[in-house]
Amino acid sequence: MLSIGQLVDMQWKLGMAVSSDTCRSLNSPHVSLLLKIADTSGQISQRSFEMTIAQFQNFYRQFKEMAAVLETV
Amino acid sequence: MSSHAKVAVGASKDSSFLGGRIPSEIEIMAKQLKDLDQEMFRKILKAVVSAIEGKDCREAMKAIAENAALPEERLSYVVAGMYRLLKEALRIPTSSLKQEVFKEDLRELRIPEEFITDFASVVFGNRRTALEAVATQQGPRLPSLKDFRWRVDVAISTSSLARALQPSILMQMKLSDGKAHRFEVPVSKFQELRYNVALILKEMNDLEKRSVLKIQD
Repeated sequence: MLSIGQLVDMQWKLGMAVSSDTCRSLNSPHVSLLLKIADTSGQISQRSFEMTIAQFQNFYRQFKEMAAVLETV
Repeated sequence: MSSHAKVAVGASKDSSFLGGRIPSEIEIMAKQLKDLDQEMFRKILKAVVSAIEGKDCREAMKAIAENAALPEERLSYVVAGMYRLLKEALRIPTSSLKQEVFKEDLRELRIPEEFITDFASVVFGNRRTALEAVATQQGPRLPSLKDFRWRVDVAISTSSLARALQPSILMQMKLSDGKAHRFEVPVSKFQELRYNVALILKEMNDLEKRSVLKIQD
C-alpha cells in the first residue's frame, strides 16, 4: 500500500517581518503555516513554511476551489 | 665526512627535519630527480604547490602527464615525494626550521642543488603565509559557520491567539558541510545569547595575552 502521510494538525500565524540583516525596515506581512503529519507508523513530523500575502491569497483560492469540488463529489 | 664538518661549524644535528627515518616517497623522488630537466621539475612543483593550496590542479597535471618525455610512473613518484616533502617542511614553523638547515637536509638526500633552491623558495618565500593559512583550515574540525542571517518578526495573530503581538527573532545558519539550521529565538533566550557573545569576546581578548599562544620551540 502506498504510504502517504496524514495531516493531523495545522497551525498558522500572521506575522510582520520588521527588519532583517539585509533590510533595516522590512515591514513585510506574511503567513506561516505549521503542518503536523503522521506517517503510517504514527510517527509525527513537522513541516513549516511561510507565504507572502500574495502567495497566501493564491493558497486560499486553491482551498476554495478544493472545497467547491468536494461539494460536487 | 660531512657530519664531521658540521660539528666543526658548531651545529650538531642527528637527523633531518624529516625525522630519523626519511619517508620512502621522498627517497624515491630524490632518485627520480637525477636527470629531470629543471623546466619539467618547475612545472610539476607548481602543480603540487597549487594542490597544497587547495586548488584544483587536474588540468595542469593532465598537461604534464601528456608530455611524452616523462613516463607516468616516474611522474607519480616525483609528485608524491614533492608533496610529502613540502607538507613536512611547511608543518614546522620557520622559527624552528631555518632555510640553511632545510637545504643541508636536502643535500643529504642528494637532491640536485637547483631543485633545492626551488624547494626553499616555496617553503621560505612569500607564498609561505598563504600556504600556512590553508594549513590552518585543515586538521580535524567541526563544520564551521558559513552564513548567518536573521529577521525580527512580530506575530500579529495566530490560530491560538487572536492578538498575539509577540516579537521574536528568526535565525538561519548555513554550515560548511552544507547543512542549514533555521530556528526561532525567543527574546529572553536572545538576551542570554547576547550576554554569552560578549563573554566570548572578552575570553578571546584575554586569550591573546595568555602564554598558551606563545609557545616557542
